[in-house]
Amino acid sequence: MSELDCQGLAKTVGESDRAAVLRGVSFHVRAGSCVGLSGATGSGKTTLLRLIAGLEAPDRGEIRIDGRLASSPAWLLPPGQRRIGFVFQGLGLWPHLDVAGHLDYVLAASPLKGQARARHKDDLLEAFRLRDLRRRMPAELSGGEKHLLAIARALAGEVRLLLLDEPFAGLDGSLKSRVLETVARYRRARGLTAILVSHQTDELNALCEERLHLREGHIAPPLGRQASAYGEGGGGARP
Amino acid sequence: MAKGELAAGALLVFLLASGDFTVSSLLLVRTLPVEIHDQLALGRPASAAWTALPLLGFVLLAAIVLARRAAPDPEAPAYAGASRRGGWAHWMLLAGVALGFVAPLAGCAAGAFGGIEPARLALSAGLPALAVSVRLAAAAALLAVLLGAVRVVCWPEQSAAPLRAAGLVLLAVPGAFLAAGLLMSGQFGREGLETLGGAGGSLSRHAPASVLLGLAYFLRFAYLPLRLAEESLRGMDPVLLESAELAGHSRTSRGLSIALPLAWRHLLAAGALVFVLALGELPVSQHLAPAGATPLSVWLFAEQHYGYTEAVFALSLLAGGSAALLLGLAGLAASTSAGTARFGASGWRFFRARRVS
Ligand SMILES: Nc1ncnc2c1ncn2[C@@H]1O[C@H](COP(=O)(O)OP(=O)(O)OP(=O)(O)O)[C@@H](O)[C@H]1O
Ligand SMILES: [Mg+2]
Repeated sequence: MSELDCQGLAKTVGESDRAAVLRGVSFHVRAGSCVGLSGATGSGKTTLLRLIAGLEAPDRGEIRIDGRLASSPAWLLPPGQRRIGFVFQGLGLWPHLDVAGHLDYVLAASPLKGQARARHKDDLLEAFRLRDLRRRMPAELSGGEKHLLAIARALAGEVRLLLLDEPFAGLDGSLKSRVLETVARYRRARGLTAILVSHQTDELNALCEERLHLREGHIAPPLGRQASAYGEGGGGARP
Repeated sequence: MAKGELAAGALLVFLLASGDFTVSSLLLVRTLPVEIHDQLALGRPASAAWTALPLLGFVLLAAIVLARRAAPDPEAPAYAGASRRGGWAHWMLLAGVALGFVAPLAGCAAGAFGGIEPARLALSAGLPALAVSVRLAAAAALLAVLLGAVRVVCWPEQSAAPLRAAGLVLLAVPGAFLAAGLLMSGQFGREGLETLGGAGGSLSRHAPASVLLGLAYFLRFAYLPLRLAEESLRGMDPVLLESAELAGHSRTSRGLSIALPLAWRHLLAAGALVFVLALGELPVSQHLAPAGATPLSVWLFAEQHYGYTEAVFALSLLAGGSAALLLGLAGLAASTSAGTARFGASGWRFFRARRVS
């Protein structure tokens, strides 16, 4: 369970034509809660998740995880020490490892050992319907199965914060609702804090208690709510 | 972008041509590399060095330019259009193969099988030379693969432009110059080992004389594994390494378990290239070959100067054939995509088994 606090995050991306994607993003996510993040294409959702994961440093502002400074322009807690599970938009499955190999490799870096590790792995394979596919390589999986594997991989380690970048794309209706339920169950059981990037209301409703909307580099108040509830710079999901 | 790549390619060709010794020497053109070689052969290293100076300056400059410039666009689709080959491109390809491969081979075959004498000479005198070359080239290729692997494992997320530039300089300086430098450092190394006494002394006395030549081949072509390692890393989606990093894996573990299994085909290709190029390398071989172990290229070069062209053809054929066979076998081992996948998986399982135990 992690508490996440972002203050005044700014980030400019690109080398030749530099564009200010984030211009002062502030919000707070309570420990154990899930926040839905939406925004137009190219509004900077992925960039924001990458900042939180520590894969990039902010130009301004800071990120605190459980009150501890994780990112600032001058300081970056290594991503491996943040206990974050990340489902990348492009998935980034390892092409040379089979399904079981993906989980094994993540588990190899976790403190879980022996029986407990094997049980956890079996649980994941079962929960995400990957048991029969355990020896398949990513190239031998369907689009939806790849998404399942990416989610299972993100949940395999000792994570406390889950970053989901449109993880349910490509799943059909019934499978999606089952997977949503599974993720929700894991989240509850382990008290995971989560940020879900999605445009689908069913996904947001199933997983998230609160919503944030990115617009023009700021957290904007979602439609249908009073702007006054959100401070200057957007103090979005504060309870 | 394509214009930049073309310019970089042209600069590379110019660079290699300006340092070439073999062709210019055989055609009796007194280029700078030939002059440098002759000065060294006459025992005048100082004047050879002065002669080499302008060429060295040029090589250095070009290497820096190329290292900064010649990196392919990682976003560019690697094989766009490959499946649409055909039409005139197809014919160009065929003509190229005919001109560059079939015609010379046919010429060689005609020469080699013209009589029994050239074949006998080639086999009796040339085979030992071929054996020396194959041994040293294989050692250099092995070292090259190792260098590429170390580069991939230790710095999977970083570019190594300075290292590549250094490799390019070694590739392009006149061979005679590189050989002279290696001879001198070899001398220093031996003296250093001798002063150590004991194990050092016996090492310096018992190390085979051809070690220096094998090392020279490796240094000469070290650019290739470095370059190909870089190519493979650039073609890799950064998210692959990032997700391993998020899981808490160290840089070495990421390099070993993610980057290396995905780069090993490039490294094998680099090894194959080094092998083939070392087999034909002349100027370095000429200066560093120890007495009694004449490499193939030196033997061929001498024969060609005497005019025994059929023997040259015969042995060239043999050398080309054995190189092709070796490379074909390596390629076959590497080509099955299932092989790639299983290699990675089993490599990982091996690594994991060691960690657990
Ligand atoms: N490496 C990069 N170089 C240049 N521009 C970039 C880079 N990465 C992202 N951008 C730009 O930054 C902006 C935000 O990108 P980001 O991926 O964060 O958007 P997003 O909100 O996740 O969009 P989508 O909904 O399409 O996934 C986009 O305009 C994109 O073009
Ligand atoms: Mg995105």
